Parts: sequence; C-alpha cells; structure tokens
Amino acid sequence: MKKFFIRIVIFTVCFFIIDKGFLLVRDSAPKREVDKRLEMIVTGKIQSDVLIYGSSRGARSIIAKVFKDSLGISAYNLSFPGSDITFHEFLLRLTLETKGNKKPKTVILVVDDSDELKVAKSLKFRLDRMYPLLKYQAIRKELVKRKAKKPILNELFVIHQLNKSNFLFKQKKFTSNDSIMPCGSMPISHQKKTFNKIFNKDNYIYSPNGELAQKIRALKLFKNYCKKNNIELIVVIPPNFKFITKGFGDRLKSLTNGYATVWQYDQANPVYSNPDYFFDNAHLRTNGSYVYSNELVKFYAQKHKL
Amino acid sequence: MVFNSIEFALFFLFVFILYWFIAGKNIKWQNMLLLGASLFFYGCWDWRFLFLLSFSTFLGYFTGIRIGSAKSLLWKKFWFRLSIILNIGFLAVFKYYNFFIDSFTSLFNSFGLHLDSSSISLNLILPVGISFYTFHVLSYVIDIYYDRIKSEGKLVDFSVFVAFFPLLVAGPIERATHLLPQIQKERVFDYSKAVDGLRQILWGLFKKVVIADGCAEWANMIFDGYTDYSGSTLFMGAFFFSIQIYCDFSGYSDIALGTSRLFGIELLRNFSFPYFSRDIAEFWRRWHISLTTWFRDYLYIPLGGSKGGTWMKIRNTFIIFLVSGFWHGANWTFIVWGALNAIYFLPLMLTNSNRNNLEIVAQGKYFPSIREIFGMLITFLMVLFGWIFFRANTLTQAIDFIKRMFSADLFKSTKLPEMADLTIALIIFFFIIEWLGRDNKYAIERFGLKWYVPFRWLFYSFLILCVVVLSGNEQVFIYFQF
Repeated sequence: MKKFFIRIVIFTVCFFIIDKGFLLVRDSAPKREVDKRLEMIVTGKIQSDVLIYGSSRGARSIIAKVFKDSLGISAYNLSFPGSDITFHEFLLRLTLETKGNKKPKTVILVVDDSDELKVAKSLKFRLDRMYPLLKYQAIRKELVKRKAKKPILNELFVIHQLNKSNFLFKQKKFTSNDSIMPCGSMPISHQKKTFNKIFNKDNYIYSPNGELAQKIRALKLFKNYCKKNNIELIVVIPPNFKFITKGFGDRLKSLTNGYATVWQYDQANPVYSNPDYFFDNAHLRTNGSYVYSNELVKFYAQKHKL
Repeated sequence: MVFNSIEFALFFLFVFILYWFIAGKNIKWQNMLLLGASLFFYGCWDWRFLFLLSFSTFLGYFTGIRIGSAKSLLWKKFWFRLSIILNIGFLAVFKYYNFFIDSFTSLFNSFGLHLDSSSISLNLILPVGISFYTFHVLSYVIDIYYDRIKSEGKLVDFSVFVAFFPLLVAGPIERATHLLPQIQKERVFDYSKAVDGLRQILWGLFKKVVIADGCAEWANMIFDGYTDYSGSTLFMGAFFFSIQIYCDFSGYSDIALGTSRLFGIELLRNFSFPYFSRDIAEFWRRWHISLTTWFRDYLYIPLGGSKGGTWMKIRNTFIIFLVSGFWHGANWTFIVWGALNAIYFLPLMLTNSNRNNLEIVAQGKYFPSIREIFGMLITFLMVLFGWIFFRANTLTQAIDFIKRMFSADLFKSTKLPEMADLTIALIIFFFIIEWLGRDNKYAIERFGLKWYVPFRWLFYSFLILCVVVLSGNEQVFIYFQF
C-alpha cells in the first residue's frame, strides 16, 4: 500500500512539471489569430465613443468608420458573426470591466430579426473565439462560469485550460467573408452563389412564443450595464431581404423598459429591396452597408443635434 | 455523478481510503462500506431511484431464499415465476409502457380509429441502470432455480451484488456465480492489481473523454443536420458514431473494471476488441460480452439454441437479436437494428461458419493477412450500417439518412471542420494501440511494461494530458439511457 501511494505521489509531481511546459502552447495561441478584436477588449485597447455589438448582421451591415468620416466621432465594431445576445452581453461586460478600455458614450446593439431572443441554430455563445485567448485570466474565468471548464482542474492544470484548437499551430488567415476593416467592421463585397434574389413580401408579426429565458436575461443585463454606466443604448434592426417583423421593435423596447432607443431603417428606400445591395437574404453587401450606415449616422446626428 | 467527473474522483478516493485503511481486512465492514457507497452513488442521480433499487434488491433476496428453501417443486415454481414476473413487470412499466401505448394507438389510428395516447401515457422517468440491475437479479433467481448456486442469506452481501457502484448504471451485467463468491471472500490489497486497475481506468477515460466525446461532436453535428450534408459526410457521421459508441461503452466498462479491481473485485469482461472481428459472429462474441452471454445462457439455450432444425435456429436467432435490440430501448429503431444483425448472423449460422474465428485476429503477428483485412473491413462496414438505425431518432430518419448517404456524392470529398482532422488523428493513434494490445484484456494492459520507467510514465502522461485537455465538453454515456 505504501509503495502504491509513493509511486502515485512521484508520478503526480512529474506530471505537474510536464504540465507547466504547456504554458508555451497557451501563451503563443493569440499570435496566430487574425481577428484581434476580442484581444483588444481583454487588454484594454478599446478607445471609441461608439461601440457596435451584434452578430454577422452587425459586422456586415454597419461600417463603423462612417461615424468618424461623417461626424468625427470614433466608433468601433465589435460584432462577431455567429454570436448571440449572451455573447454580446459578455463582450460589453468585459469591455466595461477591463482597465484601459474607454467607457463608450453610445452602444449600438444590432439584433437579428426575429431570432435574437429565440433558438437560432446559427447563433451561439462563441466559445471558439475565446480559446485562443486562454492566457488571459478574464477569459479563463468566463469559461469556468459557462461550465466549459472545471474550476478545480482549471486552477491546477495548465493543460485543462487548453482546448484542442490550441494544438493547431497554423497561422490563421483572412477569408473573403471574414476580412476586418481597421474600424472592426466586416463588410462583404461579393454575393453568395445561393442567394435567390427574391424579396420576401410577407408581413410577419412577432410572437414572443419560443423566447429563451437566458437570452431575455442577457438582453436585460446588457441594458442594465448601459444604464448603470450612463451609456446611451440604441438597438437597431438591420435589413434582411424582407420587411421588418411587425412588433419586434416594440418587444425589444418593452424588454429594455424603454431605456433603449429602437431604431428601424427606412423600409421605403428602394435600396433595401434591390438584390444588388445584398450578399444573401440576411446580409447586406458592402454597397448596401454604406447606405445603411449613412442612414444610421444621419439618425444619430439628428438625435444628438449634431 | 459520472465516472469522468471530479466529483466521482473525490468520491472514489474517499471510499478507497476508508475501504483499505478503516475497513481493513474486515469483510463485514468492507461490504457495508461498499453498499453505503453504492447507495450514495446511485442516490446522486436521483434519490427517488433508490426506492426502486431497494425494492428490486429485496425482491431478489426474498424470492431467492424462498426458491432455495422451497419444499415442493410447486412452491419453487411459484416463487420463481413471481420473481420473474415482478422483475420484468417493473422493467416493462418503467421502460416500455409508453412505447407500447404509442405503438398501439398508432396502429389503431392507421385503421381510422382516432385514439389519443397522451391520456393513457405515464409520466415516468426511466431510472438509470434499471435494465442492468434487473438483469443481475434475474440471473441470480434463475441460477438458484436451476440449482447452479445457493441463495444468499446475507442481505448486505446480496445488496452489494445487485448495487455495486462500478457496475450499477451501465454494467457489465454480472452473474451471481461470478460476483457473489468474491463478495463473500475477504479482499486483501494487491499492489500489482491496484496498478493494473489504475491503468485500465486511464485507458477507459482516454476512450471516453478523448475518442468517444471527440467523435460525438462530429457525429451529433452530422446526424442532427443530416439533410445539409453530402453522402460522403454522412458516411463520416456514421463512422464517427461507430467509434463513439464503442469507445463510450467500452470506456465505461474499462473504468468500471479498473475501479472494481482497486477494491479487489474482478468484474466480467465486456469488450474484446470487437472492431477487429472478421465476421459478424465474432463481432457478437466480442461486443457487450456480458449481455450477449446473458442472452445466450438465459434465453437462447433454454429456447433450444442451435440444436433444433433449421427453422428453430432461425427463430431462436431472430428472438435473441430482437430481444437484444428491444433491451436497448423502447424504439422501433433498436428493433430494426436487432433484426438487421440477425439477418447478418443467419448465413453464418446456417452454414455452420459462426465459430470460424475464435482466436484474436493475426495472433502473434504484427500484420493481418489480406483475407483478414477484408473480413474486418466488411464486418466493420456492416456494423456501421446497423449503427445508423441505432443512432437515428426514428425509422424514417434512419432510412432518409441512408438514402442520402448512398447518393452520387458518396465518393466525393467531405466537408468537415478542420478540427475533425485532430479527432481522426487521435482515432488512428487509438486503433494502433488497440491493435498492438489486442492479445490482452485491454489495450494497454502490458503496453510499455518493458520500457524504461520514465518513458512509460511519459506515455501515461500523454494519455492524461489528452483526457484533461479534452474534459469539460462531456457527453452523457450512451448506455446510461438503457
């Protein structure tokens, strides 16, 4: 019995030593990323007055530099394709909690019509975007909070902090769909091959049935962070190749207890029913993004009497 | 509390220390401790399940004594039948009631009679491991009835036999003739057995956490969205599931066997490298051995086995495979899976070729012959095809999946995420180790034992490293649902 325990102790000590070698793998991972936006947040390098949070619709539809070009206001796009409201909530929280980041004056939340608060196969909490940044304590803490990692193992072993993706040592590259402008926006200049170019003329009415409690909670938290920090919150519904779902904006307004300004684009503008301005049924392409961003900036200027 | 959790590791450590340091060589205390730990372990799933487990244990204990001490054959038969009916009855109610109700209402509805199953369905939770411990009790009662063993007089010992925590929720399905004598005998700590137990636990964890859960990610992705993928990707989905189910279940069994060995108790072997089988009969001798032999001994042989005429052989083969399928779950998919395996098996049976491959493939050699490779490949593909039914939620989905898989793009390249390559690399590593260790009880039983210790420890460290890196994304053990 004594021999058994001595051997286990010696093995455990050896294993701990080997484990620490994996700090090299963990700490080298951020260098291989091309999208540095999340790392900018976690290292306190966000310095803009207007911040944009959203999924791919936020990333593609709003070109943040239009704010600077038109109004001289600094803006940065922190929208991540495939992310949901729970991820946006985390990003805003991280932005506000990390030392060095400038507290924004305005936050623009770009919502998906009309899946933002419901089950959406393509939207999730983007854990995969966090794994390359495990060298940062805040990221590790969030992964434990989300039960993606176990608290005790996370403290004891460097290897438990890692994800299998950390062992892909290839340098990542931009793709035609995921190039990032210096302002953080990710417009697309081409069109999707499968885009059917048929404008959906149906009038949909929003129903709260199927809304997820965790997404509602995330939206409310998002609003609360803004309110607590005296940040203006504008919720925008970007164009799909269809009409906006009726009642969706009202639902968002009621969930934010009227704190958020819910802005909708001008649906009568023929650009939004012209397929030449769309990448696919759910996203604008670059020319459409500029039209939409200018309209948003115009609204912003009017609201602030600039 | 699953095996691959910190909670289980702490629980195990606590019980292990108490077992060897406090209970020591006192068999009574050792068994009391094992029983207490087992009830705690089971209660962690849901404390309400303890009532059913206790009832099943008392039923087996009481009827076992009655059968053993019956003074006339009439009473012996009475207690035996009562025990069988009640045990199977409970299993039927908890596991199959709603299935039968749904199936019958569907049948009636197809004849134009509009029945609503929801009004007569029961809102029951399926107790974890019910199929496994019910079969423990059944084997005990049957063995007493046929005078293979004597009834157990000590309730604690019998309860440990039924509820021993390493095998409680997913087997192996133990026999009273094998396990009870070990429970009745004093256990002494054995260094080499303890090390062996740890090694088997490590290999089990590697199979489960690294291979099975890694494959599950891709299998789930492909099966859940199968309408979006090409034939070749669907084939990869079925491939990943084939590996997942093997590593998930055999990984669990390895952890169970290793854990049990650390307490000085040997459990029945459950898997013996089934994917190295050269025909389907060999596969079924190597897959879920404790269930296959259970059905062989308590169903197939009493039905006449293969001794009767051709029709009797066919009937018995179908019965055993259909019951085996149905044992897995109350769904037509499992029944079709069972029937498909019966169809695979019959030609071998009818041509007396079902016992051609009794020894492990290429024994004593590094490489198999072309014929053996061909046999293994065909068997694996047949098994893989069957797993599609096993994995699908409905028969319609399974058939649709197969139709799409056998489309024109079956031989085109797959569209899998980059991370799937890592899973495939780990699968290749896993099968190389399995191949090298196929003569043993489990793949790394003797792997590296002749190496210089630091090298061997490096190998173990690598396995632990993979387990720790990949833990945190656990999938529930597939066989818990059975």
